[in-house]
Amino acid sequence: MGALIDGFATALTFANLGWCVLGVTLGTAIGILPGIGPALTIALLLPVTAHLDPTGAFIMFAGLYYGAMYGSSTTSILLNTPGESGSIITAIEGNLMARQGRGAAALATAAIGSFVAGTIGTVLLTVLAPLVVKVALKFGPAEYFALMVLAFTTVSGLLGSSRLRGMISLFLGLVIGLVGTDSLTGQARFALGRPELLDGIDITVVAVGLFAVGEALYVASRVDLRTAEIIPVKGSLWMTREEWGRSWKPWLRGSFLGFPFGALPAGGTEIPTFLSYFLEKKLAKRPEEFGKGAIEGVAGPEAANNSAVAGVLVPLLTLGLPTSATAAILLAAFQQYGLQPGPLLFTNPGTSTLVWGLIASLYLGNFMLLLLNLPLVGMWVRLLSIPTPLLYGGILVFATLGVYSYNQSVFDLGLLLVFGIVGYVMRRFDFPVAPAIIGMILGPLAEENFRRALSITQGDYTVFVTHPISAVLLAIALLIVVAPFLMRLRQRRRPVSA
Amino acid sequence: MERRAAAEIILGLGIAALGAFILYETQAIRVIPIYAKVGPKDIPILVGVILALLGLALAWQGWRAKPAPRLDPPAVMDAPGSKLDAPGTGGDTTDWIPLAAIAIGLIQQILLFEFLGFVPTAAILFFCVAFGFGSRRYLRDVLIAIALSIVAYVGFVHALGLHLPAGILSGVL
Repeated sequence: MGALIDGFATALTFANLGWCVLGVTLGTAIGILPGIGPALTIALLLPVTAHLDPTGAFIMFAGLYYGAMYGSSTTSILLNTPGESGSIITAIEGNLMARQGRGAAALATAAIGSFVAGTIGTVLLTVLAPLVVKVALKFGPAEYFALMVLAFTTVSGLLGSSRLRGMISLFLGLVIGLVGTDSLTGQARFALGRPELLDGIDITVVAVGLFAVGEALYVASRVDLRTAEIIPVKGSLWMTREEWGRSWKPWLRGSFLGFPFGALPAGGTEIPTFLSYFLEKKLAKRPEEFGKGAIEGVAGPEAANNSAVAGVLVPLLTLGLPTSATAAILLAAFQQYGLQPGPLLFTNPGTSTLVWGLIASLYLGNFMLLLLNLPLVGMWVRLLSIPTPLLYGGILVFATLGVYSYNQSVFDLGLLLVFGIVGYVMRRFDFPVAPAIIGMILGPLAEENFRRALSITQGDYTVFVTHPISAVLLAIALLIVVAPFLMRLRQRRRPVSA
Repeated sequence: MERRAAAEIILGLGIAALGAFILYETQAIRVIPIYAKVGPKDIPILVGVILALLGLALAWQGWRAKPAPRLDPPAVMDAPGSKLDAPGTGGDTTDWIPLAAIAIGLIQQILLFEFLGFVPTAAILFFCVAFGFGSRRYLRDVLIAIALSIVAYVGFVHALGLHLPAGILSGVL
């Protein structure tokens, strides 16, 4: 508790409040603009923020991450375009509400629900983080390696339309992570004789290539995606008594549903939003309204989405384990400052002010976002009227600018084109992109812990199964990979009936 | 054969080839004897082998795919900023001209970046992308392209202290 109060003292300084305002404002804007998400924006900001004070930079990044979630719900409701995968449900149900002239109520329940869930999620983060830190302090390299293997299997196995495609994406990320100088022996690996590759490939190049360039190529290649219809906001932003009555329970249920999915390495925000939608449909007094614009179907999933985002911060800050693409890029941002997220981030007096300042700024940021997104929503909606050709033109100009300025290297622009084409092919043939980003960041850390664990035991591989925590984590990971195959075998053996 | 199945075979074989290439390249990694137990080669070999197997599995899946009607669920885990990629939205029609326009924009920037400088190449890129996205208001696009590139250059170089090549405009901006 005392740590959090100190955190507020850090977050409430004039400069850090300024970074928070900048982060949430920028986050809302990029959440609203189709074609850019928080992962891409933070990746692009890495070169610009390299010389900033780390506390201010992370307060801005966190505001940006939260803000993008608020902004993307606006776009989903008015444009039927989910800004990121957690708002797919909102893009369906909220857009239906908007088409019926209840767009303002949908925006209001999404914004207030995001505030409620974001605050509950942040409270849970505040309470849980010190507890996880206590456990994590006992972790050695074997446990960390097992934890990372578990994260690999969940991000590639539980998400996306095909497990095989998720695994391929993950391994492409691992390959990218291998390029460069081996951290333990200093040997060059896969540099192909290019000095530019000796330092490895920067996350900025990969993320911008896969997300911005790949996305631009894909959207441009599809006539049906190039135009979208904006539905004007109708109705009152002040929800009626009935709308409040129908919203508050889904907000709370969504908050508690979303958080564990973000916090466990079960990865991502989309599963809890789908679960929340089906739960609300089951509990609703008028389930027949679902699929035609039911307010519960916006309130619940939006809350689940936002509290999952808060949940993602628990493993990221306490264990250094990213479970989403944005979290992976945040981890890269920590590394840029020479900080390694994990229990020591909380116990080391130098960095504990940073991390608690960051957590305190989440409370403030949530409050600012409610103000930014509810009374001022009309201003943000105007961003949607930027013509798509100009929007993507601008995105690619800033994408190439950011990538070049990181190393002042034209070689990186060439790599950007390569990863842009890879990103296009992945989008075109339904490969999820997030596992590649996570694999690229987490792969080198997993390898380091694997080899550390083995060098401690003089090459004895049983260390991974004799340590109980490591053994349990690896068993769960194995189960996630193997279980679907076993189930399919059982189904096949059963005779086909009717 | 269905296009999706054919794509899976080609992509799968390509991925398998990448895995094989990684295995081949691990020969070039030098291992100092003290690190021989778990050295810098072991994980790359593991990654290469698994990637090659995954590629072969994808090709096998494409080979065995029945030419049934497509019932793919919408891709849940799409990139941030994606539009809903629902089935039946004309997902198999690829328009190649926009792709070429954007690719030309990016390639000219790689080739001319240091010679012409940031402002002209960024303006050409902007124009190519706008054209690729179907804009035909050339005058408006050219003006916005030039204005945006100059503002970006001045803002990032003079206000944020980044380094961008001035090229032919050096001394002017």
